[in-house]
Amino acid sequence: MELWIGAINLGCLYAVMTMGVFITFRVNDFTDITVDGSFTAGASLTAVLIVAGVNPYLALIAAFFIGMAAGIATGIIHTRYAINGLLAGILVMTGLYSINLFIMGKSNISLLNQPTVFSVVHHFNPGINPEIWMAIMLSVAMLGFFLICSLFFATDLGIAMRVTGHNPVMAAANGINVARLTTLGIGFANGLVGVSGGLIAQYEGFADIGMGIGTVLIGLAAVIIGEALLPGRSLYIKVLSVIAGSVIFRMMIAFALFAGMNPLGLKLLTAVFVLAVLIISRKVADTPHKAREVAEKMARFIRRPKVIGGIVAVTVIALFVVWGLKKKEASLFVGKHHDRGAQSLDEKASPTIPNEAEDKTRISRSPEFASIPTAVQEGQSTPNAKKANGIVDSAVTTPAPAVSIRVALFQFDDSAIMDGTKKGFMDELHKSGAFLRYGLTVDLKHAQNELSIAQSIVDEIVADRYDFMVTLSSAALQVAAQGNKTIPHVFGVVTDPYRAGVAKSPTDHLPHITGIATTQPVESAIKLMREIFPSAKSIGYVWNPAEACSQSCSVLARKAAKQYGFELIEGTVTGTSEVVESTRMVISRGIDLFLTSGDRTAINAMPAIAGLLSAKKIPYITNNPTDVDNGVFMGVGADYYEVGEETAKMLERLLAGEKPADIPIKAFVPERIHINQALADAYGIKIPAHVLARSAYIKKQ
Amino acid sequence: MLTVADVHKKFNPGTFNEVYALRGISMTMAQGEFVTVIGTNGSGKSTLLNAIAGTFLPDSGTIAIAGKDVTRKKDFERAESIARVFQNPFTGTAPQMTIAENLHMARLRGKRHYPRIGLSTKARRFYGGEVRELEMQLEERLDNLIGTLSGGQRQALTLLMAVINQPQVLLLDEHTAALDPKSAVHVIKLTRRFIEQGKLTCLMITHSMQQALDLGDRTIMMHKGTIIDDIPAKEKRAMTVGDMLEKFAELRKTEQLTDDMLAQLRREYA
Repeated sequence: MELWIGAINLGCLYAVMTMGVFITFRVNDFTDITVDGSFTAGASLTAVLIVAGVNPYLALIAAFFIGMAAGIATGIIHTRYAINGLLAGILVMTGLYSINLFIMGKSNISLLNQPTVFSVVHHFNPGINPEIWMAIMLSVAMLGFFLICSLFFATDLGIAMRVTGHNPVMAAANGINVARLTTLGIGFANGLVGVSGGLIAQYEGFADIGMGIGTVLIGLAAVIIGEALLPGRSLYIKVLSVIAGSVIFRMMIAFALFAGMNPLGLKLLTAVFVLAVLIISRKVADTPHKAREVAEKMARFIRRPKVIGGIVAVTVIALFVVWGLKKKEASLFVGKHHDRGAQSLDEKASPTIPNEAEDKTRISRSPEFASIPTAVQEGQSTPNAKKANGIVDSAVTTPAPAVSIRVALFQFDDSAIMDGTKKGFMDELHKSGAFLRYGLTVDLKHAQNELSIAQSIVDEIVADRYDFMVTLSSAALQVAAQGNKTIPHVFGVVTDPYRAGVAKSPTDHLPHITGIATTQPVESAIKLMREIFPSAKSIGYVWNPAEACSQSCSVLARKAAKQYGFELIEGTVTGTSEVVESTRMVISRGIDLFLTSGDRTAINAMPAIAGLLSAKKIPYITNNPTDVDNGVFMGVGADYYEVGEETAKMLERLLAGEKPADIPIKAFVPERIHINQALADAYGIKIPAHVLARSAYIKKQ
Repeated sequence: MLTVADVHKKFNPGTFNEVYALRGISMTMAQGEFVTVIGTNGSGKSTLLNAIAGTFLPDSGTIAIAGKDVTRKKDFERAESIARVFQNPFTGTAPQMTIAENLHMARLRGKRHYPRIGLSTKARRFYGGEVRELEMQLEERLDNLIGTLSGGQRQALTLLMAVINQPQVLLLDEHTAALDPKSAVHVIKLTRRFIEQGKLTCLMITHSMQQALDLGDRTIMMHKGTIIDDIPAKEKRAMTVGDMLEKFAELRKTEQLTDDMLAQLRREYA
């Protein structure tokens, strides 16, 4: 149930943004992409102000004004300089990316444990479920929002604004300054978008530089859904349709996730859906009068209160039926929803558990997610179903455990690090026998690098009453920490949990959250570089300031470079497309060595960097050991397989009955050195014997 | 009331598509005068109207309304004193808004649009009374969208919107050309009544020689961006359509009109 309530709440918060998109798209007749930037602008300013101690309501007003400023900039570029509206929006949106980074000073600000507008709401909670209480309060707020918007469109200014969009020639003939009013409309719309961004940041507990991407499409989809649902021509119906459209769109996303749809396809589905409705609505507008009369008659019929009630009732019943089926299904086939997010672990991965005595339980050595079915479940699920669902187990001979515990493993995005961690995590649970002992089911939830999906997934995990939650990566930790206040939660693959806002010190952390902190061994890498290259003077360093992890690494790198007598020559990038250029620039300044450290943008462009550097015979060092297989000279970093194991061990302590509040956050950096000897030979570099002796792996060719 | 002095306008100057649309137009209109304009296609009739309305700024020359120089003012700034009705009935109204809202915008012509509810019950009653004068049974349909009305109804409403605030100058650009004959007759009837009642200063382009003769105090004839004839009221009263075509033929002798042009005029006006 929380899933649906959560979707309604998100829908209400996004409705403010949708109203902004409605104003530009339908009132000003202008497709405004500024929205993607002003949403983040509102969120970042709100977050910065709240952290600085400003009242969260005042922060929202500030968010309105920064959004409005962005919109007015687009409006002026469009009207004064006659630049195409779409292009004007793209210009301002792109510029806002930098401005938002300036505002935040980093890519991500946590609002956990900060006062928000919602803490006030929760303060007056008479004791009902917080999400439901929130839904009630938001409904009241939405009623107010509905009235304000409807009244605004009926004022002289509102009418003039609508005239300007519908017929600019007539507007000018009637003395309306079309340029000014269009600019004002776009400004006003983006102000609302900014407020929505601020609300979402407060609701989800953080602002992130990437949170606005795709906002305009979400808004358009919601507007179009609303229009299809409530096709009335009256002003009030139109305003209502915007709010309803936003809520329904969120419900549709929640339903798609709930029904097991692959979130990978969500964006495509949204785009196809918007396109289809646009084409259909155009077709309807073109059809002769008669067809339209029939459509209007149907619309009138649908709008009758009894019919609306009926539709709502049928929908609710249908949802409950699906829900019921879902539950049943889940109990029939354990792990049916393992693949939620279409991200089953690499099934081809070879068993990695050492054939040692630890393997007492004789269970499967497969690294795949597995569960030990109870006798009943085993009897009911067919071999085919098991295979299809990726369940692998060979423990039929083992007696069924008394309990059955469900764990949600939540990851935000993909990388080689994630794969290694997950493998280590699963292997450890197998090795220790936790799967058997606790009748463990581990379900993978994958957000596909999408904030709104992540939020829905956390709602779903809470609604599904999982026994434990494990998050991999800082982003996953932040979303989960905000959405889940009850389920015991273990995190891993987090550089700095203190910065993420879940803890002040290893022992002073949120009572239901604990985990593993793994910093990049930047200093070790630079120290080794000094040992191997005693006469080297400078290190090239390319990184993306928008990445939180990379930012802390850059601070470490500067410090260590100074300590070991290197000059650090930095090149900053905002996307993979700029990496090659930035690397060339750094090389042109005559560097001896090159380092990238925990930067996802650079990691993604690693082959290109390695190619450029090998042409100049400049040794390339990274903070990921396995990179030596991809043309890197030396990798000094944490072994994420072991990080995964360590995360699993912490989960096992919780399984054994310990409370998260009693377990301090553990700093764990299993340092490994990998050396590419083949490349060293090619460059004519002699690596000291003591370094080779410490290396875990030496690539010979 | 309206003074146009030596106005020139070239479109797309210096390009292959250069059009010298107005070549030194000068004319004056007294307070309450009603002038009709006729001329061949491309003679600059509509361009003259647009220059007066401020759709574009002239290259040289001045335009003054009631003694005030408005040459450099934009269209929406002139709208306070100038109202206009377009040839296309779709241009003058906002189709996705109601009759009352459209009238309200016209009523606020030249005033600031504040975020206050100006379209009150009282205002609606006033608009209802105004709409009744159109004799089109629209007074009961104030909340209908303009898009549901016929072309004739829309054009009548645009006319009402143009005169609702008693403009200093009313510009009519072949405003009955796109209507069916019955609606055209009705709209002309309304035009005549509104102008007489309000003693409005009006410049009207027409495509019908009969209209040009029947309506207005004097008639201006345009050709190739200049005014080639200005027929005063006295002379006009005695004229028939035949006389007027003959006048064209006479002008031909002074070589201002080619044979083609004359043929075109006969086709269009007779």
